[in-house]
Amino acid sequence: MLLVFTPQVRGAPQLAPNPEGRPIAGITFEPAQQPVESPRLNEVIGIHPGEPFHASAIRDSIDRLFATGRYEDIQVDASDTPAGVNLRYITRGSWFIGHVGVEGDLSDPPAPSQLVSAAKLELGMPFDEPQLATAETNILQLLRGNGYFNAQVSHELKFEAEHQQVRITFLLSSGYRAHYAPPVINGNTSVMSQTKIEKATPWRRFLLPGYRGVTQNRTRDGMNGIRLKFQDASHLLAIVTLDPLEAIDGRHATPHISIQPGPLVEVTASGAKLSRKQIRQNVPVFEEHTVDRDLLEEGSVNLREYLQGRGYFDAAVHLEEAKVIDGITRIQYFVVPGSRHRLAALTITGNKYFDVKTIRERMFLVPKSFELRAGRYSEALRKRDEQAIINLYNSNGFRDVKVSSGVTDDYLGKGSDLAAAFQIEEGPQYRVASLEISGANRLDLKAMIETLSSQSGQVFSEFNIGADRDALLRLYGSKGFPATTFQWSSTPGPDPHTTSLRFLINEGEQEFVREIVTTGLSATVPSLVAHQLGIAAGDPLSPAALAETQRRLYDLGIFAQVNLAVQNPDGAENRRTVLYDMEEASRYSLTTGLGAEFARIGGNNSVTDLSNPGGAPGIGPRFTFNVSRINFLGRAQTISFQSRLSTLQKRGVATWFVPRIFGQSRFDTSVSVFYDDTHDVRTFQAKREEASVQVSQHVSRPVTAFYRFTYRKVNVSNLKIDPLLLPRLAQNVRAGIASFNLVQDRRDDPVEPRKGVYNTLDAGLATKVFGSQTSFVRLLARNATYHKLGQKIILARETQLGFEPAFSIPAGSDPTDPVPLPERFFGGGGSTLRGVPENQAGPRDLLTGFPLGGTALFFNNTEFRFPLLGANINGVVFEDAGNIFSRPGAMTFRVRQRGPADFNYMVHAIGFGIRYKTPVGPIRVDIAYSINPPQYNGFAGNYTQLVQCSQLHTCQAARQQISHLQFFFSLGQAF
Amino acid sequence: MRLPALWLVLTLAATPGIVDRISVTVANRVISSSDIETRLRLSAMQNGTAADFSLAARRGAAQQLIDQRLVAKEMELGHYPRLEPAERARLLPAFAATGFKASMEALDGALASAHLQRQDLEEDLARQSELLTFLSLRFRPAVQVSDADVERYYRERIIVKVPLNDIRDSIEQNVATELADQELEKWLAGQRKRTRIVFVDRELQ
Repeated sequence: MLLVFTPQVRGAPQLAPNPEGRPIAGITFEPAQQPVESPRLNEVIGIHPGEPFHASAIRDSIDRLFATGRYEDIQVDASDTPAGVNLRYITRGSWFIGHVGVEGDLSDPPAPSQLVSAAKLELGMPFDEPQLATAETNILQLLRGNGYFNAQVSHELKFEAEHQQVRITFLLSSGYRAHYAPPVINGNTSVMSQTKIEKATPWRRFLLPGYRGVTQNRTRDGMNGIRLKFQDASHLLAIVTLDPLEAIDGRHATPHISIQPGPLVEVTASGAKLSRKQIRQNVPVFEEHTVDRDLLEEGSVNLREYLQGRGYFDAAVHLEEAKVIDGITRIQYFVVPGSRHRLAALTITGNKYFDVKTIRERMFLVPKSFELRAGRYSEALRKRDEQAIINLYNSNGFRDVKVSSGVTDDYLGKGSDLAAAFQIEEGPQYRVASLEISGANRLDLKAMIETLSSQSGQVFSEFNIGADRDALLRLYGSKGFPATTFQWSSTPGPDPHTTSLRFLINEGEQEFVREIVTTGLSATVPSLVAHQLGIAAGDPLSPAALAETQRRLYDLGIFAQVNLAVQNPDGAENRRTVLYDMEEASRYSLTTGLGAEFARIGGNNSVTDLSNPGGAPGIGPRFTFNVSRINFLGRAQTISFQSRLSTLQKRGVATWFVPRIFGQSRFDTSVSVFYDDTHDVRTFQAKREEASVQVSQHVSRPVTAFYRFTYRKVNVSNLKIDPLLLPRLAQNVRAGIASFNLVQDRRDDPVEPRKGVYNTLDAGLATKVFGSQTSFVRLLARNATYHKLGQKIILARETQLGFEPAFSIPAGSDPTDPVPLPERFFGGGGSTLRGVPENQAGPRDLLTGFPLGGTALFFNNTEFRFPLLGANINGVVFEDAGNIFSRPGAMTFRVRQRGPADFNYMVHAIGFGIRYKTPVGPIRVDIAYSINPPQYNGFAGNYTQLVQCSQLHTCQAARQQISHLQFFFSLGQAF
Repeated sequence: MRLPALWLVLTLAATPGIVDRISVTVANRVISSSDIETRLRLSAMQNGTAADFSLAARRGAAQQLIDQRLVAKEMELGHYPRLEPAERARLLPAFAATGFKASMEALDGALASAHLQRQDLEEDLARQSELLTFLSLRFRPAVQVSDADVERYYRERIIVKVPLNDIRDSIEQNVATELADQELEKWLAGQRKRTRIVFVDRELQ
């Protein structure tokens, strides 16, 4: 019945009649729990019981409620009662995008993060069902681009009503990754054969039959390779296009490539000697794969600047219109290089407020130098420098500054030399007479005003005002005012050259944190994340504080990604929900490495072989295997095992690292168990078993302190020393050492420092109380500084000083030499003293010549590091001095060795090195020449002969000497 | 017996107790059902016709209001000039002068019979005025009227032929307005694509 008649009421209004003017008796909400918090809700509605009903007020209240972004639908129901109108807001909340993840059989590429990113669903933004279809299409497209033509995508939604969030999981079934099939080339293949074209791509397997799997990168690289091939063949305008890849049988995809080679394009330069390579580097048509007027003009400018950089300051480059001759498009640059000059002198006069160095730092003109032989000069650069100097003065209150410049040819009678001179008339410096700040009502700016650069009496400049604006807006931002605006105006001050300033601040609305929601945690204990939150509900919404929390979460080292977003960013609300969505990193990492050491580390390690006590050139192959598990127990702890196997060493370390102990972010701790079987000191073989506990304290940004207790047992064997010394030195050693290590690192770059200071102090105490067999103190101090000399040369120096005095010497020990062999200082080599091989410095066995180590050390290294070839190869000249000394009292700066039994003198070496920059630090090759390498007595014979002759006291010394020339090959700077 | 039952059914269907609700959302703005009804009543009053609340009419009104919201948002973001209060105050008397013999009482009577408030009409008139300002500031400056445009308009649209030079200025004005309108249409189409528009009342889509 109703269905029959409904069409007849279409023309009627849809809403119930308004009880306009009737008093409002009450307001209720359905559901009672609303997305907008209660006090704020009443504020947003703006209607109160007792007020008369107005339809326009209801409409406005709906508008305001919706503008909060928290609602999808709002209806207002009115029921008229004798007491008035009862209003009921019937609402449906909106949803926002929460954690977005992917699950299924995935094989990289594409990486999961790429898939999530392809979905284009941004954390915290409003959620709309239709977005999912687009997201799935994008994901499928990405998968297809990576060869998964049979991939299927679906999604799973989990609605988290508490935070109005939707957790979206895309479920993937990627299927088999298709492989490339032989490409089909369409178009003109007369210029290049199909085989050549195919070879330009990485699609075919190297040395193996068949084709590789399809990936977006390979497809892109293949197309770029083909384009480059045509470019190399001077077909700059070649058009190479690829049809969308389609699978032919689910397992293979044939790339259909269309090629239009276009005309031959020849770019030449006449009038100056410019190689093909130089033209290619400067004319961007080669890089952009297109030829147009703008790029050719840009090439003309680049070529002129290139020539000016080579000293042809008057160079002129003209572009001739492209001509097509014999089917070849010819583009020619006419170059008039002019005479070659050098900018021999650059003078600046009239400057009082700024020194020449400050001004020169802002200039493009550079006089000739070792690095820039011709200097840098052009008329345009001179004019630019005039403006740069004016800007510098203007920004410091010299509003009337005048700068002029000129150039003199034939400087000091040398026809090719130029001298540029800049004259500065500074004029008066304007100052601020008064500063008035208005509009700042919500924040107390008293403390901030004292730090402003434009205070009364300070220099008046727009630069300072800009700095003040930034500081004020930063302060407002940190207090949750995202929309604060700043304007300023000025009027002439009461005195000459003074200005009265006025800052006008429009604060806007303050925003606060409503709640913080963390998502994406699976293995991680939530309290760990909660401890890193630097903000809490109710705090002002400070972008800096939010970013700081994000940084701290990244610093835990357990998250591959930490996304930060404000939920409902476009909603008109002043209490914001902050979202941190995390993606936990893979918990296990496994690395293996294969390498080799190449230095004077050779020689037979057999106990019976006493040859080469000073080492021989040799290669030490090395295999490393490391495994670690991060986020152990879900608390950002790490357990790891690192091992190294080489001809010199077998080492294994297991470590348990616990960050942020005592609830303090400054304290970390680690427990390690260590096994080492080494022959790095050629005198003996040491098997070391060690356990240690360490607490590190980040005292300040550059300073870290380490508190460590170590207990170790060292078995010494295979000693190549005087048999009479064996009873004393061949003993196994137990040492318990409590140590304190302080590191101060103020270097600008720890891998390749250019300036700064690096200091360490290591103090250790081994006593019987700690289970040590011998009591001694170990002190080792290191100071390294790095200084820039000019723009590119670095002076680096380092001094190390160490002492190891013994105390409570047990009866039966040698009071002059009580420290056990493995606990002594050994040194020399690539990072300490390049005049001797690794661990070959200092005292030696008087009979065999093998090193014995000492209880004092001093090393001083000085290096000049400079650019050598291109951007990646640097050179080093160095001087190393120092030695290991038998005891602290034996330290001396004496250069001459008094005899083959005297090792307490200072060894000096000079040398040259090359550094090749790599992302993990420079590869280092050093060649050192020692002016006074140690001489010593070795033994010409085997160990059996040594035992026999030492019993009979008939051993014959064989005089030997460490080679003057040493070489080292390793990774990283020496210090 | 049948007729009273029918009346009862119709009454209940028309007055469900809901006095207002969201019909369409345009970004973070709302077009409510009362907005649409008011729009229809205003159009009827201004055109001197009976109000049409049919679905087609409501759909048309919703589309108009979407455009209004898009323009309003742009005017707010671009800080376009709005009508001063004094200018607003002149709108209703000026409107009354056009069809109500300058009588505010007559206008009030017409408003009451159309179930409208003065405020509804004043806002609508203000919106129309501000739209013209927006059009002239946003699109007119970019419009170039060529001689060919003027000649084509003269050739195709002027029936009573007077010398072109006598009416060139007015033709130029007309052409410029038409071109500006076309630009506005293009701009609105673009804005509609970029803006999240949700028809909460799906009937209106």
